[in-house]
Amino acid sequence: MRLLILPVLALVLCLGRANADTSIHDQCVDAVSKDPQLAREVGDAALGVDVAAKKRQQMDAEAGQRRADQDAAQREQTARQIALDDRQVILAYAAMWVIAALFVVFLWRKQQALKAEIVGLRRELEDVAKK
Amino acid sequence: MSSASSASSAPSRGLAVPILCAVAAIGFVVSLWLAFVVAPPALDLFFNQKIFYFHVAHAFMLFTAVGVAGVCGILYLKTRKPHWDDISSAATEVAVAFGAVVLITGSFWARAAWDKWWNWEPRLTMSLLLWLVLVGCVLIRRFAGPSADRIAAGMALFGMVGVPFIYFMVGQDQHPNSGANGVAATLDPAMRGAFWCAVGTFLVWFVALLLMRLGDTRAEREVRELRERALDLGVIE
Repeated sequence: MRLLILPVLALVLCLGRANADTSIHDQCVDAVSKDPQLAREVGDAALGVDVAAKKRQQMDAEAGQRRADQDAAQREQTARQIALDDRQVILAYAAMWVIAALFVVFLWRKQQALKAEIVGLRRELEDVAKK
Repeated sequence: MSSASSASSAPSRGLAVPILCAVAAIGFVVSLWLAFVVAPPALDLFFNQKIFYFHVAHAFMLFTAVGVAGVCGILYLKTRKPHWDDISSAATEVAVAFGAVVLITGSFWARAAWDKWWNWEPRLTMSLLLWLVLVGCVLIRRFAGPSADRIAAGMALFGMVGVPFIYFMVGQDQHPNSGANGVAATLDPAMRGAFWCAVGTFLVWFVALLLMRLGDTRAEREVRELRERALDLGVIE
C-alpha cells in the first residue's frame, strides 16, 4: 500500500509543480506584455546587459538635462531682470551729470582763481609803474 | 596787455557761452523726451538701450575733441602760434571729461548687455588707452616744464591717430550693435531722431565747454605773461 501511495504522491506533486510553473510563466508573459520597460529590462537581463548601470546612466542623463534646463531658465530670468532693471540707466545718466557738473565747477573755480591772480598782478604792476 | 586781456576772457564773458549752454539745455530736454518717450525700446536690451543715445553721442564728442586737439597740435607744431596750442590744450581737457563719461556710461551699458562691468575686448581697451593718453597730455602740460606744450601737442596727435582704430574696430569685437560701422545707418528709423538730437545737443555742449576752457587757457597765458613782467620789474620773486 505504501509502495502505491508514494508514487501517487510524487505524481501529484510533480503535476502541481508543473501547473504552478505554467501559472508563473503566464503571469510573467502578461506582465512583460503589459509593461514595455519591464520587457526591455528582461531582454537586457537575458542578453547580459547591466540593467543597474544602464538605469544609473539614464538617471544621470535626466538629471543633467534638468540642470541644463534650470540653468537656461535662470540665465533667461537673469537676462530679463537685467534688461528691465532701470538702475543701470539711472546710474549712467547720474554719472554723466556728475562728471559734467564737476568739470563745469572745475572750470569755474579755475577761472575765478585766474581772474583774481590777473587782477592782483595788474594792481602790483600799476603800483610799480606809478612809483 | 589790456587789449590781450579783454581778448583773452572774451569767449567766457561774451554771449556765446551762455547761448550755447541754453541751446544745449533745451536740446538735452528734447533728447530725453525723444529717447524715453518717442523712441521704441530695443528688442534685446529693452530699457537699458536708452544709455545708447548719450553714450554714443559722448563717444562722438570724444572723437571730435581728440580730432580738434590733434589738428591744432599739428598746426601749433608747424606754426608755433600760441592760439593753436590754447585750442589744443582746451580740447584735450574737454576730451578727458567726455572720455570719462564714455567709459563710465559704457561700463553701465556693459553690465546691462553682457552682465559684466568691463571686459577687455579690443574697443574698450583702445578707448581706455586713448583716455589715458589724454590724461597724460594734461599731466604733461601741468608738470613737464618749458617744452610741455610741444610734447603735449605730439601726444594729442598720437591720440588722434588712435581714433580710427577705435571706430573701425566695430565688427571685430563683441560690442553691442557690432557688425556695423555706421551705427546711425543701422539704427531703427524710429530711434534716429533721438540719436541725432543727442549728438547735436552734445556738439553744442562740447563747443560751449571748449570756449569756457579756452577762456581759462588764455587767462593762464596772460597770468604767465604778467608774472614774467612782474619778475622783470622785481615786483614778485
